[in-house]
Amino acid sequence: MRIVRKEYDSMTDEQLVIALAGGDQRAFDKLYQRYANALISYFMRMMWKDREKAEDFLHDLFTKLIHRPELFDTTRSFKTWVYSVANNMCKNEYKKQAIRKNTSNGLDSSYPVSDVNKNTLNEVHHQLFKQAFDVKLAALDLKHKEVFEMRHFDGLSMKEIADVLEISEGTVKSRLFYATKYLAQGLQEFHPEHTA
Amino acid sequence: MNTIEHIIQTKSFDQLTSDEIDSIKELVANEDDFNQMKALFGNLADIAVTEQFIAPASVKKSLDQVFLAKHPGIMNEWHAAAPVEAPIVPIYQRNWFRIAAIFILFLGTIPFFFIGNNEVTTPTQTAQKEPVKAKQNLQKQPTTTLPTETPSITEDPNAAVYIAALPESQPTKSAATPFEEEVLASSAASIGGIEEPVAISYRERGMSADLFFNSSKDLASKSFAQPVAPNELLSLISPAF
Repeated sequence: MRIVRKEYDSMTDEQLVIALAGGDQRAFDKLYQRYANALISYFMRMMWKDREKAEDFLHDLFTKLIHRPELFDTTRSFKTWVYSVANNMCKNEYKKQAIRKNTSNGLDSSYPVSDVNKNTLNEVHHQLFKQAFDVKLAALDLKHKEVFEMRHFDGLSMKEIADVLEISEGTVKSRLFYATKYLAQGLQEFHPEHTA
Repeated sequence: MNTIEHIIQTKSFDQLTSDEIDSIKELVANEDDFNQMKALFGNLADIAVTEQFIAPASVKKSLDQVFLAKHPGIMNEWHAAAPVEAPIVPIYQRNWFRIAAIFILFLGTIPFFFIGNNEVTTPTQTAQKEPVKAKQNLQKQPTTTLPTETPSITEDPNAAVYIAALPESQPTKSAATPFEEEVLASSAASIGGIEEPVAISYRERGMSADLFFNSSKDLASKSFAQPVAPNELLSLISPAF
């Protein structure tokens, strides 16, 4: 008898998917651990802070991965692939509803990790900035918004964003610069010189 | 973009080098823009933290059930040790087979061992017995008269001469190799005192050995002398004109 132990922490995402396809439960656990929080945060942003919908989308995405792991091309990056799948799910949902909800209407204060209700000056400033930021971000075009969120909230690189959205890196860069300038100009009132 | 963000967040506008200004000029045109970006990125870092959500355990539990349905039997014992079957070893690589093969080979070589000993010892024994017989005959000769002039074939008085003619490097008969003893014994028996002893060395081996040492004919190394000298042959040639 011989026990074969795998070092799941040192395995890449692509290796974990291959192991998952073979029925390795621990590989699935490790993959879920790596991406569950990031993906539900992504779905929360894209689904107007609708937690139930975000959880359903997360469940559907991993169910798809369990049932049909062959959909993933192992020559590609799993991170890019999973975000592209998530992005397509959101776009299908947009088409299904045919309307876009205003993020200000769907704010849910029960999900933030930190407690933002502390009545301090910084917390108030932060809360006000967040509300203004959400309004400005909602006013942005979808193509600029998604690039900006992927870059700053999901931590994707230019190349990864380009792969997920299937556009060129130059386009990603121009969209990102446009969104950054737009938000910086629209949030001038929160500049330290103005607030001082 | 990562370097641009890093530059804007960590440096002030006055600290920028020419290379850094070139790299951020697409995003920042002047110092005011630079300060706006700096403030935006500082606030975004705080928002990014609050935008992180934790996936509920209910989703994971449901996914585990989906996984169990897809891969039944694996999930239940995923932590169990995976048994590895013993490899199939061919019969000729098993120890008992090797030991048996060695034993059979050993048994098979025993008959050849005894046969080899017989072949070696027989000529040695005859070679040792013949000189004894020759000495006995020599001692008997003065007392008895021979009935005929022809010597007996079985009695070989010259055998002692052969034995005495051995080189000094072979001091005793017992030191002679089986091959030499066999040659001496066989030649002594064949000559039988009729033929004159010929100084032929049978000790040569290999290509120089005489292959017909038992025959009475002059063959091979026994005779290299030409019957007629070349000068005599030339004298036979007479001119035809």
